Amino acid sequence: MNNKLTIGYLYPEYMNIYGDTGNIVTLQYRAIKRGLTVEIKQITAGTNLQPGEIDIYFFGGGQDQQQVFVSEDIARLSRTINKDIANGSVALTICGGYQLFGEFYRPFDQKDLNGITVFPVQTHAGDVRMIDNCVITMHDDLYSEINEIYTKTPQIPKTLVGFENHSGQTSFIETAFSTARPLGFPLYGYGNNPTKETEGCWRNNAFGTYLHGSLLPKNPHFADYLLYKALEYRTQKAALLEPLDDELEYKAHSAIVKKYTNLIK
Amino acid sequence: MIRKLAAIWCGKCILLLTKILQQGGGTAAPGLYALKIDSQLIESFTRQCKKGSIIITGTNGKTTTSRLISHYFSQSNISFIHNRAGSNLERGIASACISSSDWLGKISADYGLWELDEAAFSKLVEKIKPTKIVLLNLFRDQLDRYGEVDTTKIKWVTALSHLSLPTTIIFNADDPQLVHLAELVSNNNPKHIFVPFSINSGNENSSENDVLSPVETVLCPQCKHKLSMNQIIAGLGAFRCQNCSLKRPSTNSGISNYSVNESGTTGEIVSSSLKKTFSLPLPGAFNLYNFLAAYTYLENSKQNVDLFLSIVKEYKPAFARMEHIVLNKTEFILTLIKNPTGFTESLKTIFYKNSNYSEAIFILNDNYADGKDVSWIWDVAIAKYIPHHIRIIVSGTRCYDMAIRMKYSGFNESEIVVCENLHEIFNNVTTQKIPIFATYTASLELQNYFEKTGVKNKYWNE
Repeated sequence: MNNKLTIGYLYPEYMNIYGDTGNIVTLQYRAIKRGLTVEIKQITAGTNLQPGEIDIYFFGGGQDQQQVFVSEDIARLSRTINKDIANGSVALTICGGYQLFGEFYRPFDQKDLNGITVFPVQTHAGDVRMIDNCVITMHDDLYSEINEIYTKTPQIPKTLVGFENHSGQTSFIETAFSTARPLGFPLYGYGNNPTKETEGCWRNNAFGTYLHGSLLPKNPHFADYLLYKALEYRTQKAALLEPLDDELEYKAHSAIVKKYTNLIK
Repeated sequence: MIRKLAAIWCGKCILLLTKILQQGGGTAAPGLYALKIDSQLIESFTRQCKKGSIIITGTNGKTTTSRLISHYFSQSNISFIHNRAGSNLERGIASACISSSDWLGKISADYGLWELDEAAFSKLVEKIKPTKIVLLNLFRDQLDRYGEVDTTKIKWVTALSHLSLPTTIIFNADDPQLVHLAELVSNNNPKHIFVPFSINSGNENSSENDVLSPVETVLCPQCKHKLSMNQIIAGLGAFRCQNCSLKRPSTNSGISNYSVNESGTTGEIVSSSLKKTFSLPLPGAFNLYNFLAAYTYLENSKQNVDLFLSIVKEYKPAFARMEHIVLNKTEFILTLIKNPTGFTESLKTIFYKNSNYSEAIFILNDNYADGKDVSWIWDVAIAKYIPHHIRIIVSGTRCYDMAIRMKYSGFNESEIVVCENLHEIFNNVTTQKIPIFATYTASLELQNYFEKTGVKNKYWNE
């Protein structure tokens, strides 16, 4: 394979304080191992963006104040990003980035921060700070799709692990977009909101989640799924991925699963 | 009064017990329980300091800065109380006071020297009523404990604006956050006196903008536009906003013409138009700020800064701040890591200009005191600062997270040694001089290990 993937890093200088950069490092590392080349395009205030340019959007978490600025600027990119997502471009959005890919974020005492409504979710400021490790079971559909992406399927956990740190409470808007599903369901931790019922959102190939950690290094199966989908989008045909040696990655993964799911038994 | 005495006696008994049983350093527990009996304890102690209190706070450098000042106080026979064992919360101060007071709660000291963590500072500053405050820097720290930088800053601004007494606030003018803070506070409360310090020039003026290692973002804290900056260390330096009026203020004390080498830093300190040379035996450009902060405080307090410059040459690093420990003919250089800026700066210092190391140890724990969230290791430019021939040994409760971090920085998996248990590390080392980077509780574990093998005194006795 001699394909190039373009990762669009949304507002890297504003949305980068929660270690989410590890996700980009991971995508890049795992793509290069598969013989792909990767270009990282920074998309920030003033950047021009055409539909079809980006194969994987990445949008991390930032400080509250910086999110205000970003929400104002991203409005101009809304059409392009939504068009790309509708066509199958991949997106991974985390925490603040996830909220701004939803409909709005409503603070206690300021005006709403508008999102670009890729996801049918809305977020309200809350007074519970949801800070802890988090273990979720993936949505069944996602898990079965991940099992189909490898040339030789390795043992794949059904869990995703990360660290959440948010007070925004995100919930699905019931009637809209029947195509959206939760990313998964919390086994340990909060997820979208204090009801602990769902975590994250999944629509087309776009994902929103509260999991930092960074997420992808410890969840190589999910990282590979994003690469697989990005490659399918870029080349318009499915190509199975060779599994990599992920012993360290899965040891880090299962250490968290063991520690925190044992706590709830 | 009865309540106060009960609290002090309770604290003193716990202190005695911990000494007899040799359980811990008695730096937190006596204060913790005494405060439960009398929550006003801090006020009644600190107001007894005849010449007042000084508070040191900031994300990085509190311990080193306050130890530089205490070093000077000791050498000058100035009496003082200091929460020097690294317990920088309210209980740590209470413990230090209980330990130096008599059984009636009387202390006789000229100064109270208090290092406080970012969260404790806003809660305690009004209780302590310091005459002087030193603000070192405000970086992203353990987000699960402290929250975001903006949140901490707002709390500081509120606390400082409401201080009832006029206070001298000595602050790092190379930190845009602190300059902005100083503007906000001086608008709210014009009684305070602000004393900025800054580093003017050196040989390390490199701009580090690497998309994969955004160590510290430099946006204007006032208007959120990009700052132009001549960086000294991550996120600090001579800055100016392109959009609004915020810029580094001019300062009375500063450092210029410095040069960093493996064992320390030399340079010139310029203040009130006098130029003096210094030699600081602490490696790492970031220690210049700690040194300059201590110097500015002493000068502002009319202390003998020439004496300070001469005794600083013999200063020894504090616990786990690039401390050298020899075990079975192997020399370990132990460095505490706790946030991206500190870790990056330590890497820069240790691996400065192709040092001779061929292996290095990284211990990552995720206990509460380390920060339960380990994602910050991904914001450190590992690949940029650790030479690729280095053999990597990882350990700690999150050893696999550290292993993956190294792997994804380009270190070969087969060259990464994972030791789930700390003591395995010492069977795996192959060279004679090895740096160790360890989070807080991992440093304590190491300390215990070294103690058992008899190579090091208990740190709280130092």
